[in-house]
Amino acid sequence: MIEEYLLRLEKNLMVGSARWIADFTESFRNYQIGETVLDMMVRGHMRGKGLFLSRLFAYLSLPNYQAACFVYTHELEESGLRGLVKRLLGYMKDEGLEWAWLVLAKEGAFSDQLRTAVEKINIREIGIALVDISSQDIVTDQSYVGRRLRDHVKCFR
Amino acid sequence: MKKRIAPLQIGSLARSVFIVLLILTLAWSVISLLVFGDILINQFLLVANLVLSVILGWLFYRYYSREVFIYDEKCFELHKGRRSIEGRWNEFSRVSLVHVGGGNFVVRLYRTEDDSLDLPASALRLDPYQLRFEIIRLLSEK
Repeated sequence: MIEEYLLRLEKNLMVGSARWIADFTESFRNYQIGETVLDMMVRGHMRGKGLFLSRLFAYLSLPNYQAACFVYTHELEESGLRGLVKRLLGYMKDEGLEWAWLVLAKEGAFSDQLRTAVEKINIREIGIALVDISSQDIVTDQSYVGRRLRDHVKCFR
Repeated sequence: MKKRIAPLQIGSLARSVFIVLLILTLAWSVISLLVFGDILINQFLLVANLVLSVILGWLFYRYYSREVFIYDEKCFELHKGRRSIEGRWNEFSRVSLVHVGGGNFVVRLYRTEDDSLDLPASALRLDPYQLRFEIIRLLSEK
């Protein structure tokens, strides 16, 4: 079930609704950052391609911000989340990523502590979503990037 | 046992035929203008031009743009026309799936961070997601 969700999310990022936000072009599975192995990491940028006029418009009007979506499906507690976000922020700085999404997905409910922690987080560069695949419940953080994430992780079928 | 993937790439074949048709038409227009002082057009020339374009387009496709992928558990060959690249799975350390636009995907194999090779999954009419998983499996067995 998790693998099916990852596949649907990957398609949604690369050729689905998320293309309105960024042009996610390259997807890695089991991507290692430090000691953490993420289930999926999709890299992209904000300047779309298109044909002549749309390409010219994108070149003239859009900043070419680099972006990524990280997906982690293992059990995580509040302290683990803080550590993971810190590692991702370090990685983003090294790789020149302007913003990123972090999707924590699993079958079953997340702990109340983790839900509260995510709801309280407000980091400008990183948006976080907790996705319970079984109940299709989604919790996001308060940042603008996080709120935008809700529509694009909703790919349960 | 080696698997051979060589589907007919209709888009590529059509492009080859169209390019040859364009070149032949332009060439005939210039020759006709120089020899007869006018551009000669008749039914026979039109049919001959089309038939010749299909034959030459097919040869161009066959020898320059047709992509064939042959692989087994240890190594692979990627042919594009008469050019070919051979490799062993154990040369590569990382795999990614890349959307190159227009719904077309390639599976990118990384030797190092800067040295990579693209397998044209969509051109080979393979499911890019499944090909990626297949290659991850082959790399993990190296």
